[in-house]
Amino acid sequence: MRQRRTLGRRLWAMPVAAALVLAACQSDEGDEADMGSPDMDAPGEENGEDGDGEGTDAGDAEGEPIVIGRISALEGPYAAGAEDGERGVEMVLEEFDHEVAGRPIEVIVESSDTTPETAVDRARKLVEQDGVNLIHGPLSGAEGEALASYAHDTEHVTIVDAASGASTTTLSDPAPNYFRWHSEGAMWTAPLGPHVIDELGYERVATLAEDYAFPHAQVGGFLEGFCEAGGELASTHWVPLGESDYSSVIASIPDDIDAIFVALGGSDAVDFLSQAIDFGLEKPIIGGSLLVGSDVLESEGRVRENVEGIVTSMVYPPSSADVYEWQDFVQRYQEMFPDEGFETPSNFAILYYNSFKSLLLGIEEAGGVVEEDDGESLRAAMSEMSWESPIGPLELNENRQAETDVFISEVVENDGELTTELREVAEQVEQPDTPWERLDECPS
Amino acid sequence: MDQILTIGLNGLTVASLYFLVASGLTLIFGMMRIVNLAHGAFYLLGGYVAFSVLQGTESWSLGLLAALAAVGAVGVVMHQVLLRAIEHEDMRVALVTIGVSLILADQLLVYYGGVAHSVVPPDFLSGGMELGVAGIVYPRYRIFVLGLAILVGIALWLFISRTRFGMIIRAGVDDRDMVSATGINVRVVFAAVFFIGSALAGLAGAVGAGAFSLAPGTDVEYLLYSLIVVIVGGMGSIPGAAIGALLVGLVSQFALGYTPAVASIVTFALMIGVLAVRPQGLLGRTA
Repeated sequence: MRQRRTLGRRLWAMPVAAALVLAACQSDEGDEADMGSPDMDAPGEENGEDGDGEGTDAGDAEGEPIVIGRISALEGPYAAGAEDGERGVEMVLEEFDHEVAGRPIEVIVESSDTTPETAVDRARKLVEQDGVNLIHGPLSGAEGEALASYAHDTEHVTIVDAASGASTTTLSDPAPNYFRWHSEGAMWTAPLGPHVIDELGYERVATLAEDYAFPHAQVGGFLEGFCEAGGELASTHWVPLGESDYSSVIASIPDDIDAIFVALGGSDAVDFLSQAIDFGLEKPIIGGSLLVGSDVLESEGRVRENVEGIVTSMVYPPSSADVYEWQDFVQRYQEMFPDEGFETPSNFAILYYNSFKSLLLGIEEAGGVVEEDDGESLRAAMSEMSWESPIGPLELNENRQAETDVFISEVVENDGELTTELREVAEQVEQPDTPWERLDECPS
Repeated sequence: MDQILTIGLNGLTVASLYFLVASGLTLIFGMMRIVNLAHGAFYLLGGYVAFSVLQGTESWSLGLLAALAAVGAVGVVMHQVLLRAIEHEDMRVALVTIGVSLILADQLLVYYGGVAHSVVPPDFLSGGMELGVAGIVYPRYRIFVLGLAILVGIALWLFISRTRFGMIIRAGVDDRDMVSATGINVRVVFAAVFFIGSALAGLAGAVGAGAFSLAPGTDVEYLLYSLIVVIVGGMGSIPGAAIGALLVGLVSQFALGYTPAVASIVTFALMIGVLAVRPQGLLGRTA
């Protein structure tokens, strides 16, 4: 009997311990997941899994290879988006024939999972173990904030943000070695507030968003314009990133609203949109910038049934819009990735493309000098540089933050096919002065 | 009022899904004292198998059956090949099943990619239905999940309490060595239990993927929830799993409805509370 008692006790303790072990494993999983980076036979990319197996994508260039560490959220709710981002990087590498300023490019990809801890872990690994001077990444808002603060501690490393959109990243004490070549989440939704009131006539809304830095910025940007134009906020609903069950949240949305502003992305958006059908959400949906991206619309399931009429504001134009060099980009994307890619490039493809290309253009401008002067000439070059990207001209302000156009569009049905149509373009939206934290009422 | 009812129903239906997943875990544990930490990955595998079969044959019920059979088979293979020799060593079993879980989840990531997948239920199960109470329209599919869980629960209960095989299982839970001493081939019984337990995870995955999307990471989420459910209800007890699932489902849904930001904390607080008062779980026996 005695023996069995101790056995029993040990056994119930075990799953708890095992769960903890598992939780701990999660943060380490990046390494394993690297090996399983989904369908990416990118000729230009191999991960530096074993320290010395770095990518060997030298073109014909003769010089010392230039090593770029990359952090991409290939796990977690934005896994599909991150994969598409990788396609954007591939396009740049092909454009540059895998070399810059006469030096072959070597890329080390590390996978994160949208949590700030993992992103910093990966950055540490890249800097301390692989000794990189250049980091391209990350994807998600909270990761960006963490890396921007990490940048303060590693002054010889230059970090170019891939797609993250929290507003604090380049606003509260911006690091001199952190560059962001796309505008941030609050800027993406800033023009949407007035548009909703003036064009759509919605005056009372509720908001639903994930509870972390990027949606904080999205809701902040939206509410600032919306409330200033006379709109009323009925309630706010926050869920953790990665939430898959929206049934009870949908039930608690008040009835007396004109529309609901939903800033969810990735698999969260997929779950919300499919459950909104089941639970009979009848209010019109105003979309945050990631709600109806290609990664969501082209997911396997019946999301498409519920997206017609959603108005959203995004940092890139709908695929049909004839602006800048966008059509060329879309066409090249479709030619390069006819099967594995989305039908049209997502947010992440174009942002990864722009940021990675900006980095390479900066290196070119600095004559390939990166390691010798701890990145000084590269930073000077990027701060002065401007170029015409597929979604409009890019240059940086004093916070090393780009201010780009924002595109308000609507999902419409056309001959049985869903497409996104451009409604309005807000040109060169400026960076706000205050970073947005989580808002539960109109900003004063 | 509407809102409370709807959230209550959500709690019930989510609890059904948790029960489907956790009953397999607790069944295996009850019989063999093996905590299968690959159970979450089995859920994910079941979902993806159902998705592929549905794509290939356009038959939803075939997808469910395939998921059930395939995952059950994978479970048996894992048990026979990897676990048989180390069955009595808890820590090794835990590590091996974690290993299987990671490998399986990464293989699925390579094959299906990171895009969210869902198994679209057939037409007669989609859309909403009037409940006749307070004018609530509730998704038909969720009601189906609830019914299925009740059916599975009753079937398991009948199976364990009324059949000869169930009798052997119950005897095995009490004293494994005596059971084999009476001449019963415990190996076969173990294999069968592992098949049923894993098949339940596969079925849960196939059914759950109709309500929630499948993506990398879903496996860990469901493993965690089923561990909480069986810890709250008592390891090894099927009625315990039902009660645990109900509690976890209702608590998490009401928390999501009223204080979404701290919902996961509330769920864990429930587990800590139960463990503080009854360390063996609500219906668990002090061995």
